[in-house]
Amino acid sequence: MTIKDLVKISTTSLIRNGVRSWLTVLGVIIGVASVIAMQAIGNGSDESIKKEVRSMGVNVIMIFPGTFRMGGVAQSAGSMSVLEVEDAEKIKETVKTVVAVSPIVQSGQQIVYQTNNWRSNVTGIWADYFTIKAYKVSSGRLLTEREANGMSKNCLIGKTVYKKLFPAGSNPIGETIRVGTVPMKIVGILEAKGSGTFGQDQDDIILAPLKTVQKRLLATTFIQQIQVSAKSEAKMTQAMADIRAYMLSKPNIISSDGEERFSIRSQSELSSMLGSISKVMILLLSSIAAISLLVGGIGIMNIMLVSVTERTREIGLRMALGATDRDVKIQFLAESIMLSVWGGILGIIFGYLISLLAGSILNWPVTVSSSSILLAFTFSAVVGIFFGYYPAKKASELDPIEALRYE
Amino acid sequence: MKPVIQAENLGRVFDNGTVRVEALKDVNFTIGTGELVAITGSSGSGKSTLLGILGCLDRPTSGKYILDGVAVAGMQNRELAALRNRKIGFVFQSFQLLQRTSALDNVELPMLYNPSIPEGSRKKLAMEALDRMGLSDRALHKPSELSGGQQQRVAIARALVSNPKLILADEPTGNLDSESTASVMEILSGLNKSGTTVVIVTHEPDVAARCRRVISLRDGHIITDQIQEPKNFADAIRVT
Ligand SMILES: Nc1ncnc2c1ncn2[C@@H]1O[C@H](COP(=O)(O)OP(=O)(O)OP(=O)(O)O)[C@@H](O)[C@H]1O
Ligand SMILES: [Mg+2]
Repeated sequence: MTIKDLVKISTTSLIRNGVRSWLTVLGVIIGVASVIAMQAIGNGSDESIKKEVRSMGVNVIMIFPGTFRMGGVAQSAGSMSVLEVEDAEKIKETVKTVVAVSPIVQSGQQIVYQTNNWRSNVTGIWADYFTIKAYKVSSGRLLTEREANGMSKNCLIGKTVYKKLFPAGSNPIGETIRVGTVPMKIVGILEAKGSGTFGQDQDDIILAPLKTVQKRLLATTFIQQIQVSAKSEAKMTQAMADIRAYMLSKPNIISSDGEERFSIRSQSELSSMLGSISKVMILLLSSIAAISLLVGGIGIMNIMLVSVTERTREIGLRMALGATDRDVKIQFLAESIMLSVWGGILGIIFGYLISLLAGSILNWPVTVSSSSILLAFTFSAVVGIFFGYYPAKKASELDPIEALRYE
Repeated sequence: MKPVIQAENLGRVFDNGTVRVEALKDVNFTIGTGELVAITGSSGSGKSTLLGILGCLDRPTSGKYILDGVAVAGMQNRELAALRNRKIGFVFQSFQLLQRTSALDNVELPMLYNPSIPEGSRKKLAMEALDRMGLSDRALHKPSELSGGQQQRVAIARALVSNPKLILADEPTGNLDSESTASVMEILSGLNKSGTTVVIVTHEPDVAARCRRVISLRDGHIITDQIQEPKNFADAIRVT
């Protein structure tokens, strides 16, 4: 019996039992679709985490007032005063394992240019911040150290802010916008960073000198965090320890119930936290995949057992005409593999569509890799072989005389 | 004449643990090339059991069966399958055609299991066999679109398509009217005249009368093994 014969026999038989065949492969379709989607979403979240980490900057260490929790920063009353601009200066001076330091203060402000209005986040920074976050401009220039560390009213805007304020696409460099109540001059547009892990727009931003934001916009002296870039990845742990030692040397830094009133986090901790979210999703999809492949496989086994019983006389006849037990076994195996491989192909198509959908909802760069298609395909073929083997073996063990007599 | 079938002390016992049936006991006979033999006997006398052994679908529990000079006893199932495919053509009472499959594809079936026949020539050989049965215009019909006689002729085409030495027919006319019976017997004796050995199990006297040799069974024994002058089938029908 040639491969062509096998394909012809199985196809005919599957087409004959059209509805039954469809229902049988449904489990495999769902299983394989989940495998594909799982892979795509997993890859996508990896990709977006890498991007997020890149956009976070180089060997970044963050110092927050209060205690850092999963949900964010828990700030007890008065904790703001724990972190001061002076700390940033001292860390830069005394901690030898860091190369760049910038205090940060953020504030939501109404931005106006001519008749265009947009609400965005104004971030007050030092010039070191560009190093820490690896910021570049796509046009114009960055703030100089003199500007950023002083009281200049020059600022940088992100792509989104540019689009909202200059919908006609005119050149913004040198134009004056109103940030809250303060007029500021645009000196550059920041290179796009795209969206973050949770879909937040990282280009919806205005960077301005720290002091300008503090004094002119907020009329305060507090800062929300200090970001630091360690000398190298290898020095991260040391740098964190050094910063901690410095912080602990401050007065009143331990609260009355013995808790430290600051926290130090590195970008790698954050990214692993983000990673754990996508791991949960992958785990969920993996279990759907495993269960539906199992159920699909059992469905195939069931339908193949029915098929063997229905075709007992055919099996007897084929044996009488010279089919060996091996021929019979292969014929039924071919049929179950055909079933599951069709399920696999349809599952790949469905999985691809699901991935596209998930990608557009989660705002992740979802990619279906050829290796995951191969994996899904192999998976479905293996299901066909594994669950088709028992019915095929049963068919091959029939006694030809009894099979021919079967009613 | 060179023997095609040599049965020596064949016995077949069915034993399912509680019931023991001796379907064949001490059966001895030889059938030479080109013979036309009828096996008769009442229901339950062991005819089908014997034919199953002769067709290598079953094995005797005692005795020796030699097919075309080869002792079958030591053979593997796989070798028996090949033997059935190359040397034996089966014709059944209930035709045993695959429903929903054309006559042509049904006739092609045995060649699927014979690698020495190239795939390309299968259709042609099947068509020739159907032509010999006068059914070339029915090649693409499904069994359900054919009369009983036509279906049995498709089955005979399938049996002879790979030029077997031996044709074994179990009640080939059992489901047919007298006209179709006559035509099927005409075909089988025609095949026999062209050199194929034909063994027919039957309990119809008309059919047995058409054969040169008649072996009668009772309770698994051979009771008579006679040579007779075969009647022309048309005469036989006139007699009844
Ligand atoms: N698989 C089996 N298990 C047990 N007993 C069997 C089996 N096959 C046949 N027999 C018994 O063997 C005996 C012979 O059966 P067989 O089918 O050969 O008869 P037969 O001559 O072909 O009868 P009929 O003319 O009705 O077809 C019967 O008594 C039958 O019950
Ligand atoms: Mg019988």
